[in-house]
Amino acid sequence: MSANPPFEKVLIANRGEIAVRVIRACRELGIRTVAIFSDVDRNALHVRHADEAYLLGPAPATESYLNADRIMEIAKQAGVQAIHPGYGFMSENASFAQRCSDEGLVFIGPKPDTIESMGDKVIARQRMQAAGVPLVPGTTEKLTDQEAMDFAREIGLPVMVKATAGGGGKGMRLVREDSELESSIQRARSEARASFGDDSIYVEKFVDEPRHIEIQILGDSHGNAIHLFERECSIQRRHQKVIEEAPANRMPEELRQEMGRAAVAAAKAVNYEGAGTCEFLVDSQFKFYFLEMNTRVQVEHAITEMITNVDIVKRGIRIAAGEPIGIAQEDVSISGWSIEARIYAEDPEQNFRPSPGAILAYRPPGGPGVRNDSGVYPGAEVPVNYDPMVSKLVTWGRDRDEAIGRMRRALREFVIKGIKTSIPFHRVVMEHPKFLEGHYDTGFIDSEILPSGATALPPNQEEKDIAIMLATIAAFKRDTDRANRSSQSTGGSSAGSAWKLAGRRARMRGR
Amino acid sequence: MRYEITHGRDAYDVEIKEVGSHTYEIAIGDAEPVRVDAFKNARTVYSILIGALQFEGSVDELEDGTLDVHVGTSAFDFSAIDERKKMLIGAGAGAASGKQEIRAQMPGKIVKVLVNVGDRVMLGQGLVIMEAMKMENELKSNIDGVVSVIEIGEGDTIENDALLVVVEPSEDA
Repeated sequence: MSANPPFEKVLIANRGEIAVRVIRACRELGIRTVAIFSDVDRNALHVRHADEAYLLGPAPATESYLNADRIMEIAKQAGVQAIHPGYGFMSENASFAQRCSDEGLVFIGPKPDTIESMGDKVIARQRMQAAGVPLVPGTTEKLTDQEAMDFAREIGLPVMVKATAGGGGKGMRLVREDSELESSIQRARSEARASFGDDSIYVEKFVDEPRHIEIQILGDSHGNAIHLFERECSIQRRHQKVIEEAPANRMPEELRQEMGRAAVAAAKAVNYEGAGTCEFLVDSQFKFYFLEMNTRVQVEHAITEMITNVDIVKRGIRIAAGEPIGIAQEDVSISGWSIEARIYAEDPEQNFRPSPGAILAYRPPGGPGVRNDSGVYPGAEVPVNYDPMVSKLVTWGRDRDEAIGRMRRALREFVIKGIKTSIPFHRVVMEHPKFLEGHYDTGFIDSEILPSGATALPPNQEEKDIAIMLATIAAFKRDTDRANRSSQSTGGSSAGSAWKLAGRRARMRGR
Repeated sequence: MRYEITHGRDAYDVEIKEVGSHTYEIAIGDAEPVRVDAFKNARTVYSILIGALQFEGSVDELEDGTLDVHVGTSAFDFSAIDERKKMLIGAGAGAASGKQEIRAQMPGKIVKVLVNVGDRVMLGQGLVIMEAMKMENELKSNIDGVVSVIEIGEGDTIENDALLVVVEPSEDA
């Protein structure tokens, strides 16, 4: 047990793997943990890890994990000093953070006004611009044709010409060549007029081959802020991250330093306290642009922990108790490579349809360089009501090749039965040439994986023969079990039917 | 016992004999029988030993009877019918009785309707050709009777379990 726990008791206002992750951090710090659970989560793993657990209410999130009144009621009943929101649910809810502080509880995360200003795109943009953090160059003002052309030339091609009233891709033109500029502006205008009855347009820099690269930050109430380097999260499906890596591929050291400095400047500009993330887009020319700041611990924080040996969740809790970060920028360095594969309860063969249900068999992978942050166990259920992520499989290696090799091996070891999972899909990515090269952008899944329809590795012949045998064994067992059951029940009921059965068997033999 | 295992358009004749506790002799097609030790309990998947070669695999029977088989990193959908049942179906002895509702086994598209309301149909006669999962399937009558209802038309997109055709047993059947 830790010598001086930062808190005596903490309520974890979340569920699933992140609640388990926070409980683990608390336990290491010597803090008593309080779990909360909805009706469908009585059997959930986070409840079993906690020292105390309280029923929230019905399954819908609005009546349970988003029910601020109920959460505060439990916090008081349990006598906690702090609430850890995890990610999602209450984590970026400024009024909940405010309410915690009004009612004398510590919200483990940044101050309410930090959450609020970073949650508003316009305010966030203004604050970042003032702090000198690069933004995607553009204007939201209406421009004349000449102004639009001048501005496009000033920020450099390619640019997007967009309708002010736009949406859904209407009135949007990508311009790569100067010779197309004037005609594209006019066409965007006429499209906008036809679609929205308003031909106002503005110009924005087009981010070519965009990569999603984000910087982990830590800030404290003493004015310190550091970064823990970057993560590359370009493998996304429908804007949801699926696989993340740390450090990023194709990352010149100067760019890493520059992005780190920008993230620290961003953190300081909003007096950031706790663990947070600055998300950036990086284009094909290695220029980076601020996307948004996530004012909470991220799903993918574990890969940063693996390469920096900093326990981000524990640091966040200590910072919330008023302690300084306790690590100087020059004390952190990158060691090795880490990859995370998010294992979802979904069927990659059925267009990633969610696959909730009971976990019948479960054997997580282990061995060197493997970390599995999971919210399930054999006998647990994945409810339909919440995010279908069941596990974060993380591997570490001295270099990227070793991390990938361990990920392939771990994906092969991982057994989850009862629900469908995205494991087969991850195996495909781990063999894909572009992924192996480390050269991909946010279009990877849409352009490299989905068109081929190959959401699982092609079956091999040896495994096919074994599978045929296994199908036969299963069919044989099914049929003999059925026959045994029916002969037992018939045999037990009356002598007459037993005779009938014997006769039928004799006839069968005779054929 | 003999089984016919089908995988898409491929069919395999497999002979299986139980020779011990969780041990079988299995021959696929004309190949020599192989001794297979397939061990599993309620909370695990199969561990398969063929000689010293070890594989892990699992079988899940889906609602429609399809066997969803995973071995190593490969996955297959099989259907398995034993030889006796195959003979019964072939001989028509497996015929059902009473009013028959022909329903879609999976979502798909109606390619062709082969009958009209009032048509007399025979056991095994095709009623509808349906396309699902890029394969065409002919749905057949499982009794002798008369088509009383047709719920769909050519080109219709249909949901799983949608009612397609009803065949009533004919009076004289």
